[in-house]
Amino acid sequence: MGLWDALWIVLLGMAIIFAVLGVLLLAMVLLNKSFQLRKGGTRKGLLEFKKEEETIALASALYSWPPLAAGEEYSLRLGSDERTLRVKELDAGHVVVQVDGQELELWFEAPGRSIAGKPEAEVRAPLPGKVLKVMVRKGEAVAAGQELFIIEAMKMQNSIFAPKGGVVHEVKVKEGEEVQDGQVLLAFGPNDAQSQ
Amino acid sequence: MEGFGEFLGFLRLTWQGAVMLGIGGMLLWLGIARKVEPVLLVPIGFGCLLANIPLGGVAEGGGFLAILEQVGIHTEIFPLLIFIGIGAMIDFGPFLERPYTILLGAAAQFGIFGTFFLAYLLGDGWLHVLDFSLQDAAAIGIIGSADGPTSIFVSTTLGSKYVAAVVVAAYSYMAMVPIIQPPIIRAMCRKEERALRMPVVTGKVQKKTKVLFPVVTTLVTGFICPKAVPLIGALMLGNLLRESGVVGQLSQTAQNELTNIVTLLLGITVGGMMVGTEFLRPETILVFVLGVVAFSLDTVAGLALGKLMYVFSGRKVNPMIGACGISAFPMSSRVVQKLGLEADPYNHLLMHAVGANVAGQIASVVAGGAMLTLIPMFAH
Repeated sequence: MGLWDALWIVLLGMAIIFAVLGVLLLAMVLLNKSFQLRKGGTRKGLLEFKKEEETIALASALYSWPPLAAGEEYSLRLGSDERTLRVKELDAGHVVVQVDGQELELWFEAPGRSIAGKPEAEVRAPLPGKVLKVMVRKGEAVAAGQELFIIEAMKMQNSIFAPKGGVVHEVKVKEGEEVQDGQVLLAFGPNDAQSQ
Repeated sequence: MEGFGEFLGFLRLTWQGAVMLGIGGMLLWLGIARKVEPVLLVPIGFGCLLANIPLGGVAEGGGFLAILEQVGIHTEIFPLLIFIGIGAMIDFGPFLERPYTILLGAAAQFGIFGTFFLAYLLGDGWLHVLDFSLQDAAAIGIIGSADGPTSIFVSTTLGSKYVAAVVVAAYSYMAMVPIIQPPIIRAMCRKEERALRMPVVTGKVQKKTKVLFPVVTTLVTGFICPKAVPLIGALMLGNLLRESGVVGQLSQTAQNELTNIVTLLLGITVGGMMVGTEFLRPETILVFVLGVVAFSLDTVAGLALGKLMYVFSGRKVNPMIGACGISAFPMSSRVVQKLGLEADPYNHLLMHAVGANVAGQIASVVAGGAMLTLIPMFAH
């Protein structure tokens, strides 16, 4: 058994690893795809509509339909799907609806005009973990790069910074809360004092 | 007065015994004072002390550490039981959300085979300067699996002389990943590559996929690489307990009680295998040196594939996550998260790194199976 054989072991070893894991990769991707197709490609945390276009279609239908009133319940039909829809808030350019217990907030904005109070941006959790510290309050002005939260994940404390300056509209998490990645932590808009 | 010598054990202390008592003490100090992997190093260090007390006899004949070695290590029961616990602890979701990361895991096993080649070159293969047989070389290479149970399983199955050294090296280098990896990553990835942000990926994995994953993985691995069945089977059984959602109490027991009990037994047993006269030879030092080589080659190979993905994805994959193909979880993920934030304070790579890291766990088991298949094939 010489060095050439040892070299063969190296090559064959890596080949086996890539073969097994390649097949596994293919199997898992196909499996997940087939489940997604059967469930209609739904996404967690969003309303369960088949496509993003349907959500947009619903939004425009909601806003252009005059009898819509806050506090009322409606029956919503999307293709063969039927759901109950509750309008929670309704004011100019702004609707909050509830479908199947999930809340959807919609903002309607014509190009060039902005709506008072509309949050410009959100800060989402870049990783799942526990909110250790909330360092801002509602109404507070923050500067770009200011530390907003500390999230603990994998025993590491991760600082979440403001992507740009503005005013905090709402802090959506509390200290001690567990968050998922992609969850909205905070909504904030432009600094009112600056825009007026 | 014939038995009087029994009270003067210290007179029988050899220099090897003394050195090993020192090493045992150092492991205890590392575990207790420096908090380096205390769950492992405290039992290992104490086991090492026990085994090297002259006339104590715990590690020979019918001594209790010798018996534990017989029933737990030679039968490979301990590493497999621990794997059930590890399987129950790991959420493979981050990998399933980014299935391509399994290729990074595959690449990062190169350290195992590269180091095997080097060790064999120094030993029976060519230079004959060290007493490394083909089996020993494979056992040393497996340190690169960066995984304690896999290292124990493979090195004992192959019947290597250096099981204790290999296992201690594998466990201690896992704790040293934050020292070994960063310089290599910095050398191979430019700052703008390290700063590359990757978007948050969520909710793309169906619950059914997560439940079927352990079953499919066991079957696929078992059909192509049957020698990996015990390891992958134990790991995936644990994961099925976790993901099936119907045996919460079994999953909890596997994660806590089972893992803690077996880790304790495994620790003192491995410590008991560190007997001076066998452990203290020049080869042992080389085993430790080659262990660093294995971890480094893993990192280099993972990063190399990471860089290929970076180029071919049109700069969407941060090449650093390739370094997490090594299965040292979660140390390696933490390293990449830190380096990402250092290059750009908004750049949280953690979950992408974890994806590659848990994929590496599977890859290292398959690598162990590949080694167990190939070595006997070529041994004659």
